[in-house]
Amino acid sequence: MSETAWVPQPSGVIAGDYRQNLGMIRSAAHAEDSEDVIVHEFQVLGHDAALLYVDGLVSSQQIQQFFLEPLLRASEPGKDISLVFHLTHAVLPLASLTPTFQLSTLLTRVFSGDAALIVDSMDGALIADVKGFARRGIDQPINETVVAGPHEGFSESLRDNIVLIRRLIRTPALISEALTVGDKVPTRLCLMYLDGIARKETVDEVRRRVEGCRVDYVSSLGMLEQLIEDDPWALLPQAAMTERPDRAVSFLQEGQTVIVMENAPAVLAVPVGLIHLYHAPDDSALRWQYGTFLRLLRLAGMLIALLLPAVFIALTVFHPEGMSLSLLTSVVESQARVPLSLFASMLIMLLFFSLINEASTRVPGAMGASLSIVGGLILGQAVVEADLFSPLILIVVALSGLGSYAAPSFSLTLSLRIAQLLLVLAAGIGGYLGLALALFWLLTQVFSLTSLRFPYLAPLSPVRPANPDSVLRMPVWRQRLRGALANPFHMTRVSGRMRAWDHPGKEKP
Amino acid sequence: MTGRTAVHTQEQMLAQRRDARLRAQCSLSGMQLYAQIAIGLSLYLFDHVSTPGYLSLLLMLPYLALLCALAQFVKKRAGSAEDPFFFAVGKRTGRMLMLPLILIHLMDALLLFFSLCAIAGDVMPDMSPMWVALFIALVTALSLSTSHLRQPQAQMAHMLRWLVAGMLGFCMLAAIPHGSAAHFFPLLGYGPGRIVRGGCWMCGSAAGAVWPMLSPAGTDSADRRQLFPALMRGWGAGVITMLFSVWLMPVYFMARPETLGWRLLVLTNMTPSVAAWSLEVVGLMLLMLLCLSASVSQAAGLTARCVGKRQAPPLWGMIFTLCLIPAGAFALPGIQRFLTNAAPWRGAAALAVLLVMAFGAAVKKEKSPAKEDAA
Repeated sequence: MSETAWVPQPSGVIAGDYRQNLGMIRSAAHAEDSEDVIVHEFQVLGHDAALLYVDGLVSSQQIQQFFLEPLLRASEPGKDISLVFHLTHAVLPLASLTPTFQLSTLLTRVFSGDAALIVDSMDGALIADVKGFARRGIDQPINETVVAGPHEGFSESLRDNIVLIRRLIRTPALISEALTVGDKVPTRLCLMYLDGIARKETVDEVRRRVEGCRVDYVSSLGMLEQLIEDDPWALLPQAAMTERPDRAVSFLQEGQTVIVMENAPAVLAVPVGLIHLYHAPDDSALRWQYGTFLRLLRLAGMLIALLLPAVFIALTVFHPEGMSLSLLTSVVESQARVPLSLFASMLIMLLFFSLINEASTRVPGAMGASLSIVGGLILGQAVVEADLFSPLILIVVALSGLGSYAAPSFSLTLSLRIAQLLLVLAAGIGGYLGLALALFWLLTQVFSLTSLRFPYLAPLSPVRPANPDSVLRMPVWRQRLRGALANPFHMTRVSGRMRAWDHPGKEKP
Repeated sequence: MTGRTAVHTQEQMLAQRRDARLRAQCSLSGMQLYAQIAIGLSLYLFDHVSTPGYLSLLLMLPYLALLCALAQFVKKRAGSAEDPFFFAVGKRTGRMLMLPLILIHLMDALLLFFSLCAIAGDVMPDMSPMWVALFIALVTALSLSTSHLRQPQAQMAHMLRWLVAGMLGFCMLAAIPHGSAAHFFPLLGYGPGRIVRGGCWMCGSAAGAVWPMLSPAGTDSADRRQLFPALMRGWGAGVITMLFSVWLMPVYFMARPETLGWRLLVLTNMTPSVAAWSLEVVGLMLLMLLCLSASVSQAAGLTARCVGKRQAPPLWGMIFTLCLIPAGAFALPGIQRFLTNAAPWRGAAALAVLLVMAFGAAVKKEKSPAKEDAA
């Protein structure tokens, strides 16, 4: 083991003596130690040559068909034609053939699934894209299922994910900019934005942050999100993660930047506001009446999840005078035989609910349903019959749990649950005063929050010109603007009437 | 075919943002005015003026209009290139004039803090006043520690104004069946002297409202067209609260020595509605916390201007808040008496400062637009 700093991709220049270069590449690629790193040596037109690739990452068929066969059958180059020119222009039928002189570039590409050819008396190496590793196909998104709308989801392949987005926005204005993150093991990612819609300053800021990450390896999109967000201490997420190409496209249309990363079955959109996390993917695919109804339902659910347990505790423990007599009687009766206080019961039940949720997420699929039944129904009924908890507590926890599931984003659901616990604690300590203080503190945090320096609650606060598509989902034909959050270059989406056919003589804008 | 769409320029964006900030600032001023009126009703008006409190509130209107007009005059003369205080009376005197304003904001904060402790004492009688004061101060200080950059109080006020209006409306609807028109009599109260004294007290409540118009150069300052309507909304909500409180409270309730907290929650204390009670308690506490945080932040901001800083370090606001703790923690009767007697003087101090500034601005030459641009 080396005691110096770990540098997995040593630098060097591929030039000069062939044997020396090959030795350097073999050593840097650990070809002797790794059985899947293949250095295939052969002769090309009387010169020594070597083909370097990683078995399993490349397609053997392509190696054979596009590299070995043409090279072994190659004819001598004409007079005054260099070997490199002859190989690249006459012998190898590969469009993606690129020369490189840097050892680090060669290694990065070879370990990403490309093959490199070095030939005696030729400076540098020729690299070709012959990727052929096994990968998951395009499947339905697991965490963002919809009733209406497309059913395609992102996979772990960077190229496939970019293609999925490109298929939906067929315009050259869609820019995909390649970047890497991670100093020692670089991970490829791609910034996608719509030229002419996204602000240059916004894209520059995203690029600056990604390039400014000093980290050895970024294993997931969630890790990257934490590295580039404005306030890592905030409870709420400041970037939106989506598994759906149609949702990624809607972010692009609003002037936001989408980060696609290899090995991540989702993409990250920045900047985002709370309103983006509140919207579900199929809101815009449904008629506006249904979309609005569902959004109101979702809002009510989220408010219930956040406030109901805390209000219940404040009322029953500290302010029984604020309850009607019938409600008070029912609370007292149900609590009479329970050994735990209401506050303790509520805290335990909320934690118990989160535990069932976490356990059913982690266990294998078939067992998850059984666990939910055991945890939710059987155990719930048993603790009530054993007089360990009041049935009212169960009802409140179940309602708030249902409400938290109404949040379309997983991060938002978790934020709601944590905030809910904080509010219950505050209400249990200080009644309505504690609740008001905790609520005020949480509100101050949310109102101070920004995503990429854009206010988190825009366009509601500060008020910005926006479509009638924030809390409610008003008709599509009235949505003439793009969301003002990312300050798009063209704020207006459509200058004329969207239902132009309905206004004879005014079809043209 | 969607036609050619116009480019959204950086200037348009900045103008939109400035406009949004101004509107939010105006909403906050309106809300602060409402909070001060609500406290004034409970602390002074119910005891001394009672049924014709609306007349005292009417007397407040010309004062408010005068303050707005004077501030607008100073602002117009100063232009947008210079601090209106320094323009009107020079740097040294300007800084001296800021001192009474700092005290006015701190007095506003003290009244809010005291009222918040009073409400908490009323709804949580078993809790130690010391802990209540400590918790309130701590949360306010914490909110100020994160808020110095984006001033979330104004944004919060702008967004929550409908919530406050809805809460008030709901509580009033719940209270309608429990009141009586007979409680308004005598309509003209007990003599003009009391009404005028009530009016003076109420003018003190408006003293801290107009200063957003005179914010320093380089930052947004509201003008009369934006601020005055927002203040009128706050004033209107105060009048409605006053009328509903009188509608609900028989005279003997006013004469009884009810606590300040009970009076602040009068709308729901007189009705058996569970939802209205919970809503008003939490809503009023949130409103007071918001205004308290804003008043302390404004006092800290003025102090920073006074010592020539662009922005107040968050620590200053926190220190101001922690200084308020004794007022709520010990709940001394002397403090309530002091607040009742000292609060109306805020009105006189604010008017005096504005008159001096207006005089100073009037004798100075108006800034030409060319000079402004150069500056």
